[in-house]
Amino acid sequence: MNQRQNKESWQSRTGLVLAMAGNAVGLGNFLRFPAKAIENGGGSFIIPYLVCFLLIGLPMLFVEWSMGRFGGSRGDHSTPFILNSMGKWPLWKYIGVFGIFTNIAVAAYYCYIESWTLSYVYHSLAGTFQGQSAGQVQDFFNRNTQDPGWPNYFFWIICLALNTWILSRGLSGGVEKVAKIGMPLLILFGIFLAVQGLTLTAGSKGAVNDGLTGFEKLWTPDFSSIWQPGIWLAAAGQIFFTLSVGMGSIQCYASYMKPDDDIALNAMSAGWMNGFVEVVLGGAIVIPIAVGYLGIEGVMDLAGSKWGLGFQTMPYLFQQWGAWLGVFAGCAWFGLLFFAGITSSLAMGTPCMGFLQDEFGWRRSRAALAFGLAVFALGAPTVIWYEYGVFDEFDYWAGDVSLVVFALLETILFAWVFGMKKGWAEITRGADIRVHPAFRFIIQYVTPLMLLIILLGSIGSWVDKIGNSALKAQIAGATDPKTIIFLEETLLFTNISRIGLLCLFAGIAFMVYVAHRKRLGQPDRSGT
Amino acid sequence: MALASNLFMTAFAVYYFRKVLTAGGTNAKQAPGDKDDE
Repeated sequence: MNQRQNKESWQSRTGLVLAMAGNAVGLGNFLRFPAKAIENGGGSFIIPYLVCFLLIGLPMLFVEWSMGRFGGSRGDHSTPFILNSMGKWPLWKYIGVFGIFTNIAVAAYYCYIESWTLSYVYHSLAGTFQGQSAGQVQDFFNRNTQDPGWPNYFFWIICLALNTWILSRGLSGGVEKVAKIGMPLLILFGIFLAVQGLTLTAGSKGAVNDGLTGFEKLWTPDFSSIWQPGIWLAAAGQIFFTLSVGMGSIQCYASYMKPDDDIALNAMSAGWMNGFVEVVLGGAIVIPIAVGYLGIEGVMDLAGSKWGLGFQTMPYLFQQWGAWLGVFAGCAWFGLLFFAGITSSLAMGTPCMGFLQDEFGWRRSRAALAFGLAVFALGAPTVIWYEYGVFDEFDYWAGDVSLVVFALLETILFAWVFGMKKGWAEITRGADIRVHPAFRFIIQYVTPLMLLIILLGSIGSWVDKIGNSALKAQIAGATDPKTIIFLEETLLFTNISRIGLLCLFAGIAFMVYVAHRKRLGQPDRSGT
Repeated sequence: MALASNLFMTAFAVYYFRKVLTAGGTNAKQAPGDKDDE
């Protein structure tokens, strides 16, 4: 058995589903989805979105839940040895490194965004934004992210410490409790803000448009754009991002289930709950409220900014609702984002902890501290050198590229190496619902093919990115010496970030190698 | 489109979550030592 028996478990089924949904529901549901939808054909975006949800999202959820439960039944709670137990090729365990690497690297910058939400709850309560113009609120955000001062570091450290402490309490005593409190609160805050947004009327509280104007803009279909490949790639990317597939955290959560527990209904419930939060709540808050005050053109200008809309505009807009309602709405909005963020970042900690507990016999608190310190060490450059693009570099390689690569490889392993016959038996064993047989075909053929298309479609941008072609073109075109120095420094930090990420991957791979050697020395544990 | 999309997502989310709540079972490893890990 393991070095030290991993005694983690879920206390209740509802807690497990809420934690899984919390893992999926993140900042992207409220900030990324509305921006992507409005950029990609409005209401018609939902068609490729739903198709990708059915052909990539749900199948990947079935695959990852099954892999996790299968690994858990063998005492494995992280992807290197879950993958190792499903295929004979010795390199599967090193491909499983993605399932730890991605979580640590994403947590490194994600916890920083999470700390912004915490700090904005404080500023909403303290009345920092009262009396500020729209421009001043935007400047506040830009100033704090470009040149962070001690308050930013303070909230970031608080956020890291909170994550570490909750993780040290374990699954049932920490993660599950947070999900049981955070998810209902998130939905309640979301409903409150959605009602406020949709009932906003032009001329009232300084609004220039009805809230429904933004809602209609978001949902008015532009069918002329539906066959553009870019729209389908954007929809597939959003499905990936929103469901947290290809990360390794779902496998880890599912590995703490019993071998005959249902996974089909649980996976469906978590997936659709995430869809509800994203489409229904995510679509009814930011865009209706922002269009109500800024107009459609003002919102379209900001839609390209990944996080900007939520932080740069909402504090100003809430002020127009009066002192008390404005403070409450600010706390509800940023509190909602905080709960969405922390339930995801906690999920990022568990694969690393599961690995350290399983393979090196570490105590839970020690494993949680190791995760916290790793996120601190890797996150510090994303905070300090944010303006040099370190944050974006981590986001691109860990938050986009790694997900697609790992998802494709693990689907091939599940459907073609482990075998669809055994795979389907895993998915349907103990199922509380009938899984439609079409999913068997989809998982074997359609999902890998779609993932391959996404990967091939992305290779061009990876090559450009590796060659720094955009930055080099900017340097070549720049004339101002200060700008040239800044761009050259950005180039340097960009390359250092990549080396850092590669070192992280290599370091985890080395630990997997050490763990494998240790397993070979244990007579009752297969190391192959 | 707005009404259809919103109703569609809400209906499925409520349907499956209700099923989870009514299906019963703890769906968890019964590990008495969980809280004593430290």
